[in-house]
Amino acid sequence: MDALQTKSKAKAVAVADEAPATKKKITGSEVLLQSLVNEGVTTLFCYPGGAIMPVYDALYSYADKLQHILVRHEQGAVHAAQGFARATGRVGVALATSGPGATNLVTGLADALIDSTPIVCITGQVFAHLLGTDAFQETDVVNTTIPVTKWNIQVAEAKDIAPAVAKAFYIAKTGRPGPVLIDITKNAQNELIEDAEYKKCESIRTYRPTPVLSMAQVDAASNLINKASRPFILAGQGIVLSGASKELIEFSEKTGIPVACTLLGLGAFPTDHPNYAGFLGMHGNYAPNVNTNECDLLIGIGMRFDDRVTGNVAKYAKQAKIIHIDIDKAEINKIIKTDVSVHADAKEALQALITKCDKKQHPLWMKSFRHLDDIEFEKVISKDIHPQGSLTMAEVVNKISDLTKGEAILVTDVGQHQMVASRYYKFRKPLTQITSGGAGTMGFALPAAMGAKMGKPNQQVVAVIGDGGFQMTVQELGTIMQYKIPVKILVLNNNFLGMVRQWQQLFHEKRYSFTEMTNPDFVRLNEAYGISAERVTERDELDGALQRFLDADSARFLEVVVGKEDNVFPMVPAGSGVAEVILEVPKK
Amino acid sequence: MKQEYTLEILADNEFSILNRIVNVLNRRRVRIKRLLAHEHEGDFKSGRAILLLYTTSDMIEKIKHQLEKLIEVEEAIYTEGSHLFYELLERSNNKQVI
Repeated sequence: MDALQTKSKAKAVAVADEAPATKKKITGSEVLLQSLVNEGVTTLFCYPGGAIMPVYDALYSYADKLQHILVRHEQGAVHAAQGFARATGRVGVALATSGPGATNLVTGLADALIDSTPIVCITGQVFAHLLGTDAFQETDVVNTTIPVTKWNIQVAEAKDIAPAVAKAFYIAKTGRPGPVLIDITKNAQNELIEDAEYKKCESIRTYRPTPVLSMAQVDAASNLINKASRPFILAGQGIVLSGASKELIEFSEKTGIPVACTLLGLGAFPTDHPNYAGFLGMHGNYAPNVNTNECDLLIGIGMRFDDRVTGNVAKYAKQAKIIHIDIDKAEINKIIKTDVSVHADAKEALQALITKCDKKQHPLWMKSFRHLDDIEFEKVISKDIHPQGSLTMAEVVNKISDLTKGEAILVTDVGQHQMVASRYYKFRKPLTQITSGGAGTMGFALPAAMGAKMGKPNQQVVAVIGDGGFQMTVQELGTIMQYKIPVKILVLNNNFLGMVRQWQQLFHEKRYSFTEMTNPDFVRLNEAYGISAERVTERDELDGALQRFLDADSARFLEVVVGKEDNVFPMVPAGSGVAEVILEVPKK
Repeated sequence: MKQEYTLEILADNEFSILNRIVNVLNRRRVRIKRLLAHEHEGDFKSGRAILLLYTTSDMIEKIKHQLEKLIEVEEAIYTEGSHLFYELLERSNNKQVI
């Protein structure tokens, strides 16, 4: 009722004002939608509610310009926006109402902040005169989301909406990208103002997103690189975000330096390149972890030395000089003290380094990686992909990788299946790996895959999820059904919260404290949503089922029942150094 | 080793700016011993916060960069000790431009 009354009052004022004015008047809600269209937005992931109803009313007339996807929970909206952003490199947009609608976005905002994903979330808010009165569905969203956004703002007047949107998109996508939230009071959504030309934001006085490359830093870095005999590159998502994959390949080929990728860096460097050294981190490949403590120069590019990469920092690359290239100054010297830091965009820094660095090869050093690869293959990989007993996660992912030629967009959730997928999928291009890295958000994959498919409709999008994570956002099957989003959903089911169980086995004397799950019939569940589904329990059924799964033109679900107590190795146990990586369950 | 530092932050005085600043310190569990904040006279836009902190040299340097990541913050500058804090406090109490 409030909305209707206020709107009609506002219109009455507008009529009185109309006589002398010549410019058309529009509501704050229309200003918002016009602004989104001007920012190139085409798809919105949303859920309505009382405080955002004026925007919904305006959306009715914008159906030809803005595709509205009605999700089933606001967390689904924000993860879908993240998936859209990560697949396309464009800003993803989510819309929610006040109170619980807004707080349901918080997990996705935190995820997008730590994983540098450009999204803009718009929330409705109660009328400005009710702010701070504990009004129905009033939550202090701005103060709630300060720690989980790159920037946020509350707008209480229609005239401030367009500048806030312009600023939000500029901040979300420049520098180190991140999430931005705009909280708009209902009176501002209803208020009528003169239609004005949209102005994009091009600078903010106190914000300097693009550092000026220092040639002194480049010279210092190239001096270390030219002198090194065992140099090693750690490539992070910064390479993907700055579009520097081509430069990274050129730099590695010229200098002969092996390149390992972090979890979010997968896809930044082709896994079939001879200089590819593997996947880094707690469950990464053996060679890059061991050789981190053998190299004489470590070059981190667009990565942040996360604790899942470094293990115990007191035992991390102590023998090596460190170069850190990053666009975010606060990341430099945050975890690992550097010898040379290059505060710059990865692409620009690499272009400069390609010119300054000598052409070189390091055959013996490269051979040491291949030797360690052989050990990992014998002890882990061969058993994982050619197992004797029950089906393994690795053999399923390995087959999907071969069938899709490493060119699908792979969206993973969090846990054992995520590490296995990251190890065994042979990524070849940037923007093809989407996962929740820093935050480790279970429930991320299903909505993120939905968003990725909306952004890249012509690309195969495969979500790989565990039985636990799948049930955290399973309601989004409804969205997939309604909009006929042809996403492929693979659940690797071990009827356990597998990663927690693995830790319980290794570090808590196999005391499986509340990690076993009794699951529903996933096939029938999907069929209830009109999604064709299949379950595989035997190895001889797998190839045919995977082919049907990937060939389907519509959404398709596949459950593969895998070994209940399989573990993911290698593993750098928590508190250990990277070189203390284990390849099997330690003998007591 | 922990010691006192005076941290000056120049920022746009948007709603929540003090929350944003204090959040960075809270997250790092850095003690705020004293805090002085004001809008620049007649400016209605920018302002300054001056904080007396008790922390380590390593932490104050990290905090400086994390504060400078805040969109509204123009600059964060720190000096060792409390001398500057009390000097600025006195000038502020005397309503001098600081």
